[in-house]
Amino acid sequence: MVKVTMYTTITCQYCILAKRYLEQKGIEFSEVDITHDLVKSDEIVKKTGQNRTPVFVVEKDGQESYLAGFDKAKLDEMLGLNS
Amino acid sequence: MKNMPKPYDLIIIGGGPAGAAAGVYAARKRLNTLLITDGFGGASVASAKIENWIGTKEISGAELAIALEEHLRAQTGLVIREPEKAVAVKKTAGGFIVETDKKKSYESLAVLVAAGGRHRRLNVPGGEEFDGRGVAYCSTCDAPIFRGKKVAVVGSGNAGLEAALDLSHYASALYLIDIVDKPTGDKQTAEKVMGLPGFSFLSRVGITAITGDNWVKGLKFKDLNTGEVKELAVEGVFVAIGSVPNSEMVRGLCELNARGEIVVSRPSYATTEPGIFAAGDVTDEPFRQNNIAAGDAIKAVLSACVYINQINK
Repeated sequence: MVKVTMYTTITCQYCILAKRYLEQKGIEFSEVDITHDLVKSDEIVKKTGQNRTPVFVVEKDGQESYLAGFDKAKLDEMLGLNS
Repeated sequence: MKNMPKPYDLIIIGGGPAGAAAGVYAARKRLNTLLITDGFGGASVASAKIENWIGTKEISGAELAIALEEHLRAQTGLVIREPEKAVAVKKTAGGFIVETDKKKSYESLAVLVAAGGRHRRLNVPGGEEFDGRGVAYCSTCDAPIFRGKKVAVVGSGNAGLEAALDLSHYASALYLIDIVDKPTGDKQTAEKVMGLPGFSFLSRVGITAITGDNWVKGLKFKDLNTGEVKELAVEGVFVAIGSVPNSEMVRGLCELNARGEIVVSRPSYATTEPGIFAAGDVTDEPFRQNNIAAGDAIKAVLSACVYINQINK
């Protein structure tokens, strides 16, 4: 069971493309918009150590992994997809 | 003996406006074409609003990327490999081989390089170390993360000015830094930025280092008038100092100018290597515009067509 959460900002174009990509791949995900949420923004920056969106948090087999930025090849690897 | 796959007529490298225009025209000319790209849209993807893509009053970077991809995928017979990145182009007896980051090789009679450019990096101590930890390149993506923080934008061309406008909604203080006297971007945008509250333009200044521990805490700069080195406390540095052409794949094969741009002949957009054509931001075209990239790529494909037809006679 894989749970995917995406952290996005409202003007982030790569976030839009990433959402479209996950939808095309049939991957369910939840989205957290951090544009106006300083608490969630600080939380994800602390977790990833990065100031980049989109951020993908993938929970798989009880483990959490993170990807900051829309890198299809790395995302496919995290999700176990063939690209 | 095992049958070798027939080479493509044309391999197009890139999926931005140049690559997309080339792909559409090559397919419509019924060239056996492969398009290799690590993504669609080109440099403009990051823009939240594009108002000069001809035929469209306003389009976002993501919408443009999707439109280009859909137009390409609608072409009959066009083979697309994405995400895949061309890393080398080599000459063979019959044409060329294009090698990719997926350890694959593809053969063709001709190649059209439309690989665009990438952000020029801030080449000072701390510039790479703090990438993603206070140093950023995409204001539409990341500006909200810098809410309430002091932020510097390095570069006063249009990209820098637009980054400053994006950041002005979030940053507590905003500095625009450049080595020139006045912003080099469009006057209208420069006037908007210069009028922002909490804004300072540090002109005739060169960044010498980015400093911090887990995160950016400041930057050092040299006053180019006095030679004095000063420090500025900031928690974000957005870099907008131009682009570097993605021409490494043809280095040694095609002539590159001092900036690493592929030198092309007009009106054919042929490079110095017969059979290799190029268009868009990877070339020595001085005007970096989506419409120009698309138009130049079409000329390049039509020239490639003539070249390929001569081989196939």
